[in-house]
Parts: sequence; structure tokens; C-alpha cells
Amino acid sequence: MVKITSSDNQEFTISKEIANQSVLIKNMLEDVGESDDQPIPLPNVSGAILQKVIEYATMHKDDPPPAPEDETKLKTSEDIEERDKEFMQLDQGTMFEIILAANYLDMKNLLDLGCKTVANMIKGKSVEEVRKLFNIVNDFTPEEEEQIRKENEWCEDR
Amino acid sequence: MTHIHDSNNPQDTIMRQVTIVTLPKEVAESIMSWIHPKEVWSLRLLSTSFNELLSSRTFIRLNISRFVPPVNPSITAFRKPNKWDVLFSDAPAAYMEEYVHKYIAPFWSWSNSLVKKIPPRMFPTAWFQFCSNLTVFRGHECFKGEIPQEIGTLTSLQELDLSENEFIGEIPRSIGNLVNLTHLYLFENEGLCEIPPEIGTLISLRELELECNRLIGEIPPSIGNLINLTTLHLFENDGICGPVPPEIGLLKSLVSLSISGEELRGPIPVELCNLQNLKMLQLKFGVDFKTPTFLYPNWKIEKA
Repeated sequence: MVKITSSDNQEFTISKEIANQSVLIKNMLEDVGESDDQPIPLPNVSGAILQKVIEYATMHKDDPPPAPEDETKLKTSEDIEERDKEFMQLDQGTMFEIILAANYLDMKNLLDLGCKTVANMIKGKSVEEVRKLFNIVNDFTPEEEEQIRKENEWCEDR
Repeated sequence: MTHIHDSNNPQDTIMRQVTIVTLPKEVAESIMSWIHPKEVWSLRLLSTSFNELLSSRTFIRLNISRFVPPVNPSITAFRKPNKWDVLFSDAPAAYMEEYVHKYIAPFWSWSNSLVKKIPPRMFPTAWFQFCSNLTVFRGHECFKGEIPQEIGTLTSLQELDLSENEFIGEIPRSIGNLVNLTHLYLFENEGLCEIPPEIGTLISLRELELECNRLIGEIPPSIGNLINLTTLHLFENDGICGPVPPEIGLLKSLVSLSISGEELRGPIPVELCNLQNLKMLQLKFGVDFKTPTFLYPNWKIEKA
């Protein structure tokens, strides 16, 4: 078993196969050696988020390694398993924190899942709708905006 | 933004307000890369930071790789045109450049003959600016319209094979810029109609095949400059007229020479006797036909 602690000092004990889904933790474990039972500090991840990340890793602990032909096959953001879709039904703040945590912990599958989920939220929406969805402030001058609109000709005949 | 959290630790909520704009650049790039190039390009309008992110080369490269399957040059010598070629043929310069570098220039040997789904289209002239290092360009049953002047910018070309397309009009004079050309094949097009005198500057040419077109006018005498030519094919061009220029007798390396035209006028220049390496000669005349007195065994001369 492996012990990890969150930024807010919550300690979690997880199995090695779950821990190894994070390349960051896996590398740390290799560096410190098996015998050390000091908890691994993860100062960039809060307990609440770590809890969710462990939930995801547990859900996927028995996944077979990807087939080599799947690795080269093009994927789209629609290729999401149903259980992962359910897992990502979260409020925006939590979702982005999980993405950040996955990035920090180096968990490619979770990071991909998060990124695809956000991409799917954006797809098909107008610029105005996306701004509203994510509180993005339009900080262009009218001239700059006009310039970009001109360069958008390519997008118009979709 | 709502921020539901384990609120046992209030500090945590204050510390972090993660939004899409505060994500690390590579994460934001990864998110946006899943959106179709045409849609994501329009999202530069979101804000200045999105504009910067979505215009960057690293992003554009990632974005294209998510959608366009890699092309394996070892599978076939020819690459078939596909919907992505059409999509990126009028893309913004940054997209076009990335696309051409990865998917066009390394594999610029095209054939449409196996897949008839894509109708021939205009030459993707806008790609040329990114292809100045291209040495071989082959494309069959892919193109229609005129061969553009811009072809003259592909100055590294050694082989240009645009046979079996639907090209019409003049062969552009800028073809004279392609001084490294050794092989020029424009045969079996619907209606190429004029050989420019600039052809005479292509002194590295070894094979020049313009047969089965609608060439009209006289054969430019400058053709006599092409002293490295081994093959000169101009047959099945009924509009070729005038005499066979005696300068052809300067092409000492010629092995195969074939010209035919309803309006082609004799007599056969006696200079052809100089062509000691000639193995195959086919001439078809319409006017002033007269069997020459200097025939070699493999020469074939007939009246049209």
C-alpha cells in the first residue's frame, strides 16, 4: 500500500496499482524505494480533488493496457466511455481542478478525459455562448476584433 | 464561477479559482485541440489570450494531428487526394503551412485513379509557397484548369509529372524557372495548347513528353538547347504546324523522338542525321511529305 497526503494534509492509503496510474507517484515510488512508508506529499492537490482522482483510478484499475493499434488510431472527443461520462458530471470548478490534478500527477487518461469533456462543452456553441459558459471577458479593441472577424472567412462555410 | 468544494478548508477555496483561462497553456491547448480546425479557428474571437493560444504553431500542429490521419509514404508511391486536402486548400496560412509540411510536401505524389470520388479540382497554388524544397511532384487525374504561373516557384523540382490530368491552355512561361528539371511529363491532358520558348532554358531536361494534347503552333527552335534530352515526345498533337526545326539535330543524346501533326510540314531536316544515338524515330507529316533518303533501321516516317 502507498500513502499520499493532499495539500490540506488529508492522508489517503491506496494500493500500488492505483498509485501507479500516476506517473508522478510511480516515479517517486521508484526513487524512494519500496520499504519507505513515509506518505508522499502532493502539495498541488486538495483532499477533495484527490478523493475524486482516486475514485477514477479505482474505476480503471483493471483496464487492460491499450492495444498497439488503438494507440495509433485517431481518436475524437466523442470517444468517451459511459462510466467516464458519468464521472465527469461535475461543476466546472471541480472539473478544472481535476484536469489540473491529472496534469500534475501525470495521468494521461484522466487528463484526456477532462480535456475532451471540456471540448465537448464548447463544440457547437457560438463565441458569445462560450464566453458566457466560462466567464471569458472579451478584451479586444473593436479594431482587433474586426481584424479577426475578417480572418475568419475560412470558418464560414462549415 | 461556482466552486463546490470540501469546505472544511476554507483556505482552499480562496487559494484556487481555476477557470479555463487560468489553466496551464499545454492543458488549454489540449482541450481546444479536440475541436475541429474550422470551428476552433473562429474561437480566436473569444479573447486576446485565446487568440494567441489558437494562432500558435504548437497548437495548430496538435489540432491538425487530432483530425488528419497520418500518411504512410511506404505503403503506396502515390497518395490519393482526400477531403483534408480540400479543407486545407484555402485555410489560413498557418494551418496551410503546417498541413503542407506534414501531409503534402513529403508525399507529393498523387493519384486519383483508384478513387474516383474526388472530382479533379484547381491546382492548389497557395501551397506552393511552402514547397520550395520539393524535388518530385507527380499528380494524375487530380487537376483541371490551367497550369498556374506559380509553378515556376517550385525551383527545386527535378521531376514534374502532371500527365493524365485535365489541364487546358498554355504551358506557363514560368516553367523556364525550373532549371533543375530533368523529367517533364505533361502528356495526356485535355488541352494544353502551346509550348513556350522558355522551354529552352531547361537545359538539364532528359525526358520531355508532351504527347496527346492539343498543342498548336510551331515547335520553338529553342528546343535545340536541351542537349541532354534522351526522349522528346510530341505525337498526337494535331495542331503542331510548320517545319520540324533543324535545331532538333543538336540534341545529340536523343534516343527516342516522336512528333506528329496534320499541319506538320516537311521536309525532314537533314540535321537529324547527326542523331547517332537515336533508336526510335516517329514522324507523321501532313504537308510536303517526302520519304527522306537517310533513314536508319528503326526510324518510322509516315504521312498523316
